[in-house]
Amino acid sequence: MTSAACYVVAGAALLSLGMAGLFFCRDVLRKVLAMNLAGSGVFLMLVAPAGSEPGRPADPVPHALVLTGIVVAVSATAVALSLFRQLSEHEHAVRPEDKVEG
Amino acid sequence: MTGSLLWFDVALAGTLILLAVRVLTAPDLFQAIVLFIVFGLVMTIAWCRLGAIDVALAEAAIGAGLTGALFLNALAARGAREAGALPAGRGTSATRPVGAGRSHAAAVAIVAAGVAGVAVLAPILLRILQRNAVAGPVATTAQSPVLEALPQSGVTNPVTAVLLNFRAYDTLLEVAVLLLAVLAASSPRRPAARGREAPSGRVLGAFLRLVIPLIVVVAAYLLWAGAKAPGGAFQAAAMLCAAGVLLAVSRASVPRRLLRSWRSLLSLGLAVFLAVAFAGMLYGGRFLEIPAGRAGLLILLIEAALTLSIMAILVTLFAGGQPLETGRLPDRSGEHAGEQGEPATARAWEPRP
Repeated sequence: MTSAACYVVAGAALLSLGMAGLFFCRDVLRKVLAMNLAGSGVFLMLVAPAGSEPGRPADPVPHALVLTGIVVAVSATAVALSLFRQLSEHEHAVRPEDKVEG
Repeated sequence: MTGSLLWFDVALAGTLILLAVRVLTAPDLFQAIVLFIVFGLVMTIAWCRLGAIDVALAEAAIGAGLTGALFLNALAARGAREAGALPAGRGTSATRPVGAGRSHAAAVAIVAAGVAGVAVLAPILLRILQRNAVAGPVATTAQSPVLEALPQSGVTNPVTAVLLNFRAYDTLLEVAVLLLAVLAASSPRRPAARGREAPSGRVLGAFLRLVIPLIVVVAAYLLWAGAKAPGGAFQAAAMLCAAGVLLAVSRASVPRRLLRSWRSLLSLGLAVFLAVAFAGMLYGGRFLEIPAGRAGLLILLIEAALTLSIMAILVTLFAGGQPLETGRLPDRSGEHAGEQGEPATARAWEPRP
């Protein structure tokens, strides 16, 4: 087993754990955490086979793809958390005592 | 990656998996988020072991730092909502274990799914790895088109060349996606009740005065060094965003001129990128075709604009998507301190002239 192989296996484990967390966790924050973990797993699976070894420079294309992926993942996380916050605020805003007036 | 450090890689990979399991199964959400930040930092070491230094820089700043800050923000906001905007001394309600009776079953299900996933995916991936090794390394200079074309790209860092020259289209769309995220994360927000006082303390002030100039210098270095060494626009922007987040969290005051031009700062990067892309067409090239002679200069120009823009975008995402128009950066509950002392009960959102 080489070094790259351990990270590839770790990436597969992270992806499965993340997807499982997305389905089995009840809390929305934890679902978004699981989505991030799954994303990290995918990045590991992309970059690990492209790693540098003595005599061979690293393949830069997966690195660039993963760099883009990290930035897009953080913006997706921000949008998800913001949607969650807007939804919660909307639900909190509709209180029973308000409905009586309407 | 020498074989003598294989034990380290195995230990690191195992740590990653254990941390992930703990993030998903820790009953306390605050603990889960902190473990997630630790996970991001361990991932940074993993990227370094794999030789992806650019990715390591980005993961540390954006993946671990900013994402963790976003989660902590969301957790704090939820705690404030559930506690009825009471002072944060009683903030444990948001971290109360959810579905405590079922969490054990969920944890077992998650671990079982993880094992099943590895059992399915790992043989395929390992076979791909072996085929890579047997067929010969792909990325030798003789066979890699990227490394062959590198001298004409204007930079010597292959990752920067791929990001900003060979696959500049992806980066262009990525910046557009970031802008869309800011739009999606903005919302008409009802004004929150007056929050806590700004954290006082001369230690905080002294710390900010020391750290923020350092951050700016390091960010400028990362931007400049991105052409030759690991670094570049995204890493520099992430560092500047850290400075912005520090200012936002400590409710320090920011120069008015900076805040007034915040919206143009958000779109500056995309505008410059598009300008360079279209300018190529004026000189007889195609869209986004960067002339080889001026490539280095143009890439630096694009990266500089991108750094400022992405910094603004990331800080705006942290601050809850509100464009920063008033005299202070909004705190975590979205409250603004108005420039002329507008009452907190003003309409939630008014179009600015």
